Amino acid sequence: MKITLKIMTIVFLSSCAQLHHVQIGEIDNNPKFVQKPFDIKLSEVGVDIQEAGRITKALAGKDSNNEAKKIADIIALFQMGPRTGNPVYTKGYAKNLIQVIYEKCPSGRVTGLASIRETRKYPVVSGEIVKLTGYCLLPKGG
Amino acid sequence: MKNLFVSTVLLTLFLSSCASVNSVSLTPIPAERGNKVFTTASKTIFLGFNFDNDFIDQSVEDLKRQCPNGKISGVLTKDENINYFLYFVWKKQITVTGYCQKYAAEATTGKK
Amino acid sequence: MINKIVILGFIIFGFSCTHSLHVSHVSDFSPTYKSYEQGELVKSRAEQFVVLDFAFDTDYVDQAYTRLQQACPQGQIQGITTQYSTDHGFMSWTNVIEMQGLCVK
Repeated sequence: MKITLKIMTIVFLSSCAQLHHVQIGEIDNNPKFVQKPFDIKLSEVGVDIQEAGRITKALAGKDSNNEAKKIADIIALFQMGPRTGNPVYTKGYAKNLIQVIYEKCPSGRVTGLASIRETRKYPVVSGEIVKLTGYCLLPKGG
Repeated sequence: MKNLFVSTVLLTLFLSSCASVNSVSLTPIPAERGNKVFTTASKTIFLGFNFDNDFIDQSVEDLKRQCPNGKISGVLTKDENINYFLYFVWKKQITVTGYCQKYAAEATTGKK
Repeated sequence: MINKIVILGFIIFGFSCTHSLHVSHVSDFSPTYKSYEQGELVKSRAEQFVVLDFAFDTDYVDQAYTRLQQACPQGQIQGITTQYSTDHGFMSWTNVIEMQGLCVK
């Protein structure tokens, strides 16, 4: 029982990382500038209702089995459409990306941008992440 | 009559297509937008059997041919799937649009 | 009792509107390399409503592209963020393209 609990804890606390899309921009290695790296992560919690249904079905009693499945199926009709990772309930969580870039690099001299769309998957929930790494070019000698 | 109706419905489903976007990206857009360049590359895939994506390579070459001695900016790259019948047959299509800016001809007097 | 609470939680979360962000791309800032104050933020958005996957074209992407350029005539646009997302609904969904960048004149 203790070993099962420990294993379950490790399983539930670990996550799987899934890469959906990556794009790398041009890289400017101008010797007159120093490159200061920065990274930005904007994320939102995604929920997998179908997985929640399966877990509920496994943990609930026999009478609730069919109920949970029926509800999950009905809910699936209301959440139709293409999806990347799990669906989220907040729209526009990555809308202010350009403003955040300028906070990291006010001069606007940005290069080596890598745009990454990934998911950190946990049981039922996931982190839907927009990650951006790049370099801010700072003139040498101030 | 019933068979004809079913055949018509199936044929309609087969010949119509459903388009969806996989990814889209855009590079910085120039001020001068007079000279538009465009290319599209596609590949029809049966039952998911696809052994390479070399069809994409011709897109860059095609754009370069349309803009000799120039720079292509404001490049919109659209990667889409066009499904013909329940994803038994689909077409992968890459559409690239941009603007060509010609470089000014440099004087070749050879003077220092 | 716990089953009913779980099912109620299902219902509350399940019937809310969900969204999915597929692609978030940021373009380069060259050759202009201007600061935020030296330009003007311009945006464009285009949508396509789809019922049961019957969508026959992807022209909404080109519409967003054209609208962004119209928002900055005679100027260069740097640092363009392009986001492709879907708003889920009842047996239908809306594909959305949003583009924003800094217009530099």
